[in-house]
Amino acid sequence: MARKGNMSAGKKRSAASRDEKPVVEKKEVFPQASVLEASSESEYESNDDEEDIMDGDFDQALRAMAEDQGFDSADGEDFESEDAEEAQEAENDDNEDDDEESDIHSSDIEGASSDGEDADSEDAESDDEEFELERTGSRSTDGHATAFDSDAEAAAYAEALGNADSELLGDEGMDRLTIRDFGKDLESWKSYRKTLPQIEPGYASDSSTDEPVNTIGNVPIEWYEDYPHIGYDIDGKRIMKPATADELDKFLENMDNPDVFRTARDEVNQKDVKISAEEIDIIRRIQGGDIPDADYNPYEDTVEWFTSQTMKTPLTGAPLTKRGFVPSKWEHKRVMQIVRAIRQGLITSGAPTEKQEPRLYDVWENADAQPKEDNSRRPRLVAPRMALPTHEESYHPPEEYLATPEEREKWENTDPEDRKRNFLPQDFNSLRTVPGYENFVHERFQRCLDLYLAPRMLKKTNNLNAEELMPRLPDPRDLRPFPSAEALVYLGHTGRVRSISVDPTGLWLLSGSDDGTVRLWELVTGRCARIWNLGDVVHTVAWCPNAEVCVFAVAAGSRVAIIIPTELCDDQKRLVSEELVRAGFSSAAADEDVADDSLPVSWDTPTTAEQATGMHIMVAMHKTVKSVAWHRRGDYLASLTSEEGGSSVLIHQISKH
Amino acid sequence: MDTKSEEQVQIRLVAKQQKYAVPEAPIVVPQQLQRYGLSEIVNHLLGNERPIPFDFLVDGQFLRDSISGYLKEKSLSAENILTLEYVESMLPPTEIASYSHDDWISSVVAASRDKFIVGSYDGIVRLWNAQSECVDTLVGHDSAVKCVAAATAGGAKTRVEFISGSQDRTAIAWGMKNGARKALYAARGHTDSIEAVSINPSNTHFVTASTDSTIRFWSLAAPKQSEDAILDDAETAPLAKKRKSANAQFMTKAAIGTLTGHVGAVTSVCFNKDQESQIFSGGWDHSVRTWDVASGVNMATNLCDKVVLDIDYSVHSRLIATGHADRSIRLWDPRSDDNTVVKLRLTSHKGFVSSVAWAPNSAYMLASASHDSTIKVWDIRSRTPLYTVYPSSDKDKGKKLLALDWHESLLLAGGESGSLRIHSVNSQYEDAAQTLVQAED
Repeated sequence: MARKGNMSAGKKRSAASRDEKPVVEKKEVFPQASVLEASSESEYESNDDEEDIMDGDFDQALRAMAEDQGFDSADGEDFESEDAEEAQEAENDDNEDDDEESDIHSSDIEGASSDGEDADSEDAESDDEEFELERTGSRSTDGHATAFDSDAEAAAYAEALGNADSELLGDEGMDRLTIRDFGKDLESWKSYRKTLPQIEPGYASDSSTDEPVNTIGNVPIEWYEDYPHIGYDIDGKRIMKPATADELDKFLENMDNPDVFRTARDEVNQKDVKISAEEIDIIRRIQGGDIPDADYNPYEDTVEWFTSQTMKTPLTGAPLTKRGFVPSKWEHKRVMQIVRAIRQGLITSGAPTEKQEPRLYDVWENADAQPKEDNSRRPRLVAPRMALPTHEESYHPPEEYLATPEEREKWENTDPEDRKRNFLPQDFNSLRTVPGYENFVHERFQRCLDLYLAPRMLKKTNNLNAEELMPRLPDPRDLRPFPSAEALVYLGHTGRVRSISVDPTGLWLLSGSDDGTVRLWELVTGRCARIWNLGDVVHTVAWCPNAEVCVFAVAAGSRVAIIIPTELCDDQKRLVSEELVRAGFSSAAADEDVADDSLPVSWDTPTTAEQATGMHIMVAMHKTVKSVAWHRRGDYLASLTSEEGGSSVLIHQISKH
Repeated sequence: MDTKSEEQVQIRLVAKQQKYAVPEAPIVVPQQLQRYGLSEIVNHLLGNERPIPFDFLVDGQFLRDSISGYLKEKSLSAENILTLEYVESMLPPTEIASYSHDDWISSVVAASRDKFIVGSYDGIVRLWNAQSECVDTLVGHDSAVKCVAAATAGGAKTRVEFISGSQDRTAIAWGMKNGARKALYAARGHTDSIEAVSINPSNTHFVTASTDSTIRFWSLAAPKQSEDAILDDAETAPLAKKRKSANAQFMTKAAIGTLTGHVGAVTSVCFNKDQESQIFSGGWDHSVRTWDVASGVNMATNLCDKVVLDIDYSVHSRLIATGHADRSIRLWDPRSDDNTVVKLRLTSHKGFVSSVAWAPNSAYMLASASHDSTIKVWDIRSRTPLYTVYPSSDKDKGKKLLALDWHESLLLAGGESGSLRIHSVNSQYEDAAQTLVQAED
C-alpha cells in the first residue's frame, strides 16, 4: 500500500537504532508500540463507523425532509442497521486485502529465514549485499510491526501446509509466534511481560561511568616528569606518583604475566590497563575501518512502527466499548435538534439562494465605451516598407535604364556612400542567366540594422495654446445690464408724459400726457400711429393684459375710458374685444338698475364720434382718477381716485357693471 | 531724422486688376507709411499723372493703420516681406437726388434704374422714375405700407410687378391690367402686420413675414377667383361681412403654407437666391432661422442676443447680413453647422440698424441704414465702414432711416423724413469688385 513510506520509515529506524538498541531489546519493545498503534487504529475505525452512522442519519433526515414526512426514529434505526452492514462490508473488504497480501508474507518468511543465515556469516554479507537489499525492499512492505501479524498468519499458513517449512522459522519466528498468541490470551501476555529483565536506566545505557581521578586535563604528562606528583585530584591535592618498580621487577612480572601483550600503561592514572578481547576486537575493527560495534547490523529489518493495515485481530485485548456498537443517544438527540432547526428554517444550507434570472448578455454594452489608453500596449510603429522594385531592378531593363559607359565610370568612381543607387542596371537575356546577388546578405544585414537602430516612436506634441485653454469670456460690452445708449425718442407730446404702457405683444407703446392726448406708437420705429384726444390730463394708460383682446384703459381727469385701437387688431380680435366691452352694458340693462348719482361710478356709452375713435366705455367718477391697473385676466380693473377729501380704490368689472 | 521713421519694411505690391499691375519685386518702404503714402507709391510706379486712390489689403483685411501699426497688432516681424494687395479706392457715394414724401417712408425698392417703388406710412405705394417724377400713386392699403418687393423682369407672365405688405394684415400684388397699374389680388391670412415680403428669383412664389410670428408662403400668380372661401372656412367666417376695408374689393389670395416657429414678431425674410426652396428669416425672438418652404421645416435656428430687424443674403459671398437693434450688423454663414455662425460683427452705427443690403455685384460690399440717419457702406474685409453717408439736407438730419436698397450703382434710402435719398456708388469700384469676384470664381 505505502511501500515507499515504509521504506523511509525503516531507514529512519535503522539510523536511530544504530547506537542504542540491541536486537533482542527491539523484540521486546515492539509489541508495546504495535499494541498502542493497533488500539488507536481500532478506535479510529470505530469512530469512523460512528461517523458513518451519523452521516447516514443526517442524509436520511434530509431525505425525509424532502419527502416532507415526519422523522421517525424507527427509520433512523433502519439506517443505523444499514450502516452497520456497510461497516461489515468494509471489514470484509479488509479481509480481501489481507488475502492479497498473503503472497507477500510468504516472501517475508523466506526473507526472515535467510536473515538468520546472514547473521552467522559476516564475510558473505558484503557479497550478498545487493541481494540483501532487494530482499529487504520486498520485506519492508510490512515491516516489523505488521510482521507479527503477518508472521502469525504465515505460521498458520505454514501449519496449514502441514508444517512443511516449519524448520525455516527460526527461534525468532517462534518467539514472535508466542508473542502473537498474547492477543488470544491476555493473562499469559501479562505474565510474560513480567519475566522480562528490567533495564536499569543510566548504567545500562551508558558505558563511561567511572570518574577520572586526575584533573590535570589535557596538560601533557611530560610536564610532570620531574615532579613527585602527576596531577591533582578533585580537591586540589597532589596525586603522588606510585613507587615504580625497577626494570628487573618489570621484566619478571612481564615474564610471569601471560597478558603482557594486551596490557597498556595509563600514564595519567599511572595504571596498567588490561585490554579485554572485546576491546581488542573493537580496536581491530577500528583499524580495519569497520564499525566498532560487532553486533551492529547495518542492514537490519525495517520496523514499521505505525502500520496502515487494519489488522484482522487487533493487538489489544481490551473489550469493545458499548458506544462502539450502540447508536449514540446524544448524537441522535443532536441530530434531531439540527433536523428540527432545519425544519423551522433556522438553518439554511450555505448561501441564500438567489433568484435565478435568465442571464442575458448585452453584446453591445461596452461598444460605445472608449478603449482605455494603455501606453504600454501602444501599437508599435510599423517599419517603413521597402520600396518596390522598379524597371531598374529588372533583369532585362529597357534600354534607357542601362548605364552608359560614362555613367558606369561615374558610378564606379563615386564613393559607395554617395551613390544614388547601390547597383547598376544589368541586362540579361533570360532570368535563368541572372547570377546570384552577391550583396544579398549584406543588404539584409543593413536592413536589419536600419530597423533595429532606427527609433520609431509616435511623438506626441502638444500644440496647445495657453489662451485656448482659457474659458471664452464674453465681451464686456455685451455684459452691461443697464441701458447704455439711447435707442429711440418718441416725439410728439406737447405736455408732460405721465404714463406709458407696452401692449402684450410688445409691438406697440401707449403714452398718456398732460396735453390731454393718448398716443399709440409703433415701438420699433417710434412712429406715432394714433392719437386720442381726451381733453383732460391723462394720468395713466394701461393695456389690458389679456392677449386675446386688444383693449386699453385710460385714466383721464375723473374718467376712465376703455378704448379698442381698431387698426391694431384683426377681425377676430376686434370682435372679441367688442364683445367684452359690450357685455357689461347688456348685463346692466338686464339688471334694470337705475344709474343714479349716489353711486360713485357711472358707466356711460361714449358719443358716436367718440365711438368712431375706438372709445367704448366711459366710466365717470366723482374724483380725479390717478391710476388704473388691470387684473391679469383682463376683466377687472382697479382705479385709484384721489383728491383732497381722501383717496379710494375702486374695483370695476368690465363684463358686469 | 527720427530713429523711428527710419524703420523700414519690405513690401511686395500685387494687384488683381491687370491695368494696375506693378513689378512684383519687393520694395523697401518706411513702416510709418499709411494708405495715402502707399497709394502715392503705387501711382508713382504706375506713372499716373492724375493720382488714383488705392486701398491696400493685407491678408484679406484693409490696411487702416500704418504698416508698423499692423505689424504690431499682429506681432509680426518687420524683417519679412509683406505682401500688399491694392485695389482702387471706392469713391464716396454721392447724392444724386432726393424725392420728398408727405409721410414716413417705410420701404423702398428699385425695380430698375428708372423705377423706384416706395412704400409709405400713409398706406400709399408710389412709383418714381429717375427724372424725379412720381409715375404712379397706388392706393389700396388701409394702413401703413411696411414693405415692398419687386419682381424681376423675368416674371412677366404673372403680371405682378411688385408686392406691398401692410399693417392692415394684407399684402397686395400690383401689376399692369388693362393699361393701368392696379391691384391684382390681396394676400390675406396674416393676423397681424406684415413686416417683410420677398419674391423668389424665378418669380413664382413669395413669402411674407408678419408680427403674428408666422411666415406665409404664397404663389405669385393671380388667382382665377377669389379664394375667400378658403379663408372663411378656416378662420374668419363670421367676420367676412364686416370687412369694410378699402382693399376688400380685391381678389383674395390664400397662402400655400404657413411656417410657424418664431416665438416673436418676424421682422424680415429673404430667399436664398442660390437655392430657392430655402428662406432665411429673422425676428424679435433673436433668432435667424433657415426654412425649407417646400416642406415647411425649420432647418436651422441660430440665436444671437439681439433683435433682428433686417436680413439680406448675398449670392456672391453666400453670407447672410442682419441688422440688429444693438446697433450692429452681423454676418452669418448659413452653411456652417456649428453655433459660431456669426462670422463678423460690424459696429459703427449709433442707432438701430433698420436695413441692410448687399451690393449686387460684390462679395464684400454691403450697405446699412440706421436710425441714426446715416447710411454706411462696408467692406467686410474691414472692420470699419468704408464710408458713412450723412444726411445732406437739414430736413433729413436726426431723422431715422427705415429702408435701404442697393440696385446696381444706386443706393436708395428713406425714412422718417419722408425723403427718398438716392446715392450713386463709385462704378469703377463696382467693376473692380466684379473682377475680383470673377477672379475668385
